Amino acid sequence: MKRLRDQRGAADPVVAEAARLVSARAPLAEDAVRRQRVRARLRRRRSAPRGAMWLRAAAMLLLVCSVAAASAMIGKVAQTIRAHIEEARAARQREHERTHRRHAAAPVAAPAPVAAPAPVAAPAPVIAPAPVAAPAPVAAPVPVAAPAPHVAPAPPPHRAPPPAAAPAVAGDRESDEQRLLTAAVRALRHEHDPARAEQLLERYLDRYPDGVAAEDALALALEATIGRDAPRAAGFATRYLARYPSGRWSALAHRALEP
Amino acid sequence: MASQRPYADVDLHAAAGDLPRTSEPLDFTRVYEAWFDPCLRWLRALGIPDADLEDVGQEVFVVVRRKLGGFEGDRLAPWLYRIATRTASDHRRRAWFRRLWTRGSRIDLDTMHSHAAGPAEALERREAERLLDGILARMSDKRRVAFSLYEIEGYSGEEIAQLLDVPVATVWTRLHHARKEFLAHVAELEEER
Repeated sequence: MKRLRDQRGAADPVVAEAARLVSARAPLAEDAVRRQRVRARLRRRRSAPRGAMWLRAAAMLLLVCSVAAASAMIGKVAQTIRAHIEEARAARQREHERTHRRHAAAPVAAPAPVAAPAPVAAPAPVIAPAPVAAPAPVAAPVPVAAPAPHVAPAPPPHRAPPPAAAPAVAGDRESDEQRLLTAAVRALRHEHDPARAEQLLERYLDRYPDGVAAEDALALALEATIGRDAPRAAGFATRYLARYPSGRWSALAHRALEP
Repeated sequence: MASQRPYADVDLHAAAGDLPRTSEPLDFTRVYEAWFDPCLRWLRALGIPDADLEDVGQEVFVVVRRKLGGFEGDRLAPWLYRIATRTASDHRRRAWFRRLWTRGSRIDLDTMHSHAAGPAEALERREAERLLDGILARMSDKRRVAFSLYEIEGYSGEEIAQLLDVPVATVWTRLHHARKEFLAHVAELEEER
């Protein structure tokens, strides 16, 4: 095959141009100076410290570790920020719910004339009474005996209902029990009115001494009076321990009886 | 074979003629002295710019020095060529990353050496080299290597076959297709003018 660079005078202009282009680059000539220069560089490179590779590897490892640590730190900061945002959002939500509940409860629970501060020294029961978790629809107070067919009965509590009452009467009774307890919890926890809470709980205990939430009502009454009215608190504690010696809030009752 | 070469002044493999063809350990200095210049030609055919030839050649012989003790066989040229191919590939990859930062090619027309007599001729030659590089860059590696070694560096088909460790017929086929492609690109350039 004839080389292109030997066809510079070809009749075909494309071949001639290709030959011109190829001829523009001469074959690489031998260069002794260049060869010696590179040889000298190779010698210098050989005399380089042997630990250079290890040093480079260590530097790379350090770099990788630094990047990983920085990434982890950034992730942690982002997580903290996210948690703060979530917390703020939950607080806003709680505040909103509290306001909403207060507005909804306004016609039912009239505020007490004197809102005494509630110096609750003992820790509050951790679990709220069962009926409070599902508040009944707030309506005007219904007499216990009066039949109220239009009011839907509240969901049955976990404990067995009183067996003697007729269904409608039993529903009214549960509704009244829930209303009293709800109002008491609201007064104690949200409105910080232990006096009114105590009053409502006493009413509950008078009406339903064997009610489904009698134990919780006693504990709440104890909480409402403890630190505010020691004799009454002792009375509630004694009542509680007499009825529920190993009840859920017996520790609180014992504490109230301590001098 | 040397008498068949059109460029007799370019000594290709003659320098390596006196190297032992036995399996005894090779002396690095002798290998370097014999194969440094051919190696630079291969690198040029592999697309390494003239400005980087020395550096890449040095890298090749760093590898050769490290691996020479483990070389077993009597065909040193293909072994060296494979090292040159891998080193050139690494260099191209590094150059690609470097271009990401420098936003341009390191090839500068002014840095290209020229054997032209006058300024006008030098300019014309540089422009021709630029066009040549452009066309070669568009060709596949195999075709470009065969074309460059044969047309520019003056290797014979047999020498290229020995170097690439392929049959001679394969070299001629690659050369045939490479030349066809080259002429097609030149024709395009001619049409554009």
